[in-house]
Amino acid sequence: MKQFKVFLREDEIPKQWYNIQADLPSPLQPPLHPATGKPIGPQDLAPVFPMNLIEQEVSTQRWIDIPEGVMEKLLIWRPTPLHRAYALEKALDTPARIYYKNEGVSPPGSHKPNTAVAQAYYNKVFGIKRITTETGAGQWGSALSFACCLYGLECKVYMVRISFDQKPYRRIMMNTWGATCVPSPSKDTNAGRKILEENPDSPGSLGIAISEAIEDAVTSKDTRYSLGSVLNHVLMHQTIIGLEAKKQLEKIGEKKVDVVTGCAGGGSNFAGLAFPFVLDKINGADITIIPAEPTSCPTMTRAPFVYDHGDTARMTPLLPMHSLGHAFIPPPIHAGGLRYHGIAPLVSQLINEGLITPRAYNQLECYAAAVLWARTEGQIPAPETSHAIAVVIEEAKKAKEEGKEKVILLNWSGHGLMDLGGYDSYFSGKLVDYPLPEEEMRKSLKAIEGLPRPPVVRKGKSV
Amino acid sequence: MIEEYDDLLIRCPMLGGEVPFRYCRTLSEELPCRKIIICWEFRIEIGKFLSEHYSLDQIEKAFSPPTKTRIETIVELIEKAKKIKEEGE
Repeated sequence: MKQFKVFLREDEIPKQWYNIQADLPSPLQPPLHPATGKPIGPQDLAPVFPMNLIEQEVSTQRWIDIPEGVMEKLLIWRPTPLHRAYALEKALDTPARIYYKNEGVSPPGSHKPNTAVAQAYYNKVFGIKRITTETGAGQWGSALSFACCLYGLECKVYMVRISFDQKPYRRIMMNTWGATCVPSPSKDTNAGRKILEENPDSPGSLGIAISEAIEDAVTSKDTRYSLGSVLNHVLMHQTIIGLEAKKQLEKIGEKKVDVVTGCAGGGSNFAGLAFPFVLDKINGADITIIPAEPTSCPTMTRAPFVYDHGDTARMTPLLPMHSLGHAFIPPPIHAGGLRYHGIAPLVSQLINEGLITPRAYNQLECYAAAVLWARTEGQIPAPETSHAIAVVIEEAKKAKEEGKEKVILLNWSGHGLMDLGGYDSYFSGKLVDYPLPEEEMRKSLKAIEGLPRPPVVRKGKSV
Repeated sequence: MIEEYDDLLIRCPMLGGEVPFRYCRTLSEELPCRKIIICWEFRIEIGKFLSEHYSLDQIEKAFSPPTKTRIETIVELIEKAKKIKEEGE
């Protein structure tokens, strides 16, 4: 009888997180304070993050123990199952063996609670009573609401108003877990009131919601702010996904993994599965590790690694990121809007080191991949998860062409049951793709040639 | 007419959901989102659209604010919020 799923017993769950900062061939270049140009230090962040999380943010210790107080909450849904995607393999007629880590089984339906729970715990032990955050479509907001509920913390979520109106079920999830979710801009903060005075019908933006959440955290008693991606400690909390997957692959008898993939928006989903395998690669394993992104927003696949000054006065560097470059906007419109799109610095550095190889896929290809997945494996993926599914399909077809029995591993990061509007748009033909022509990209990159670049360091040496 | 493309949909990479073009063109105090060109340039004639419907000053206003990394944004917002807190005390 075929084995469709691999489970770990609860006592087999990894007891430590993996911190890739210990093994980076070149250390991360520190983010710089926009006002002083000096590296941002713990005290700069202390008003919004508890010091125990700030310590994790800068730690270079390879393994960090998962506290018992975190573990007992993770065990509500972890270890998550590793599935073999037999039906997809059959549909693709591939010799590849496709496995996926099902992070959709968490109560909020995605990988996000892996860090939400840890962050809520560390805030709790630091004496914090209340956490604020922002959310776009609601995935992070619902994960943090769930986590705060587990630890008896108050939670206030500022949800971008257009999503608040479009996605009532996400809001209801947050309310069910006891969180307060308000549309942003709100009347609850100076930042929100100012926007509403000028435009009572403002649909909101992520920027406004972040402003509100941080203002609330800084001005309220016993309150801190929480972020669901990008930061180093957030990515580290997610590594439990990859660490579990390694044990599960061993259990089912796989000795080698050929391809590891996850989608990369802010980077936590990809990092969670991939970083433990990046360690293997650093130690000599032959693995292709692929973060996937949309072509409409090519942050990783086509942009160079630069210090990109977002403003014309070149006053606001300074975190080295993969950037799209200034000249993307034709005259008379200049620089402003086009900086990087927020991929985590750790992911940027791994690209720079050549340890991971990003790919971009257009939205129609991704939705087609998601639909094929739903019609074979049954589960409806979150739209962002579909980017990684597109990688799986491409690699499985390649394995067929090469006649190789490759092992492909995917982070199936969440279900799409709260995102069916996107599927509806796809089925009704309302989504269209227009990838960026190479010539336009070359022109835009030429314009940033004169800007200062950070030292590109690979394997500890400037290149 | 400025509403010409309002019903076209795109997946907003920041929000993680579909939004109509109207959202992109009114995001910032009724002015366009700073990412409107990168998201829409190869779907519609976005440069032409902007030049037809916005003055140079409006375009400057919409696109000139510096973009920052998340950590820079957080540090700046902390400083702003500290001032609000001080004024309130």
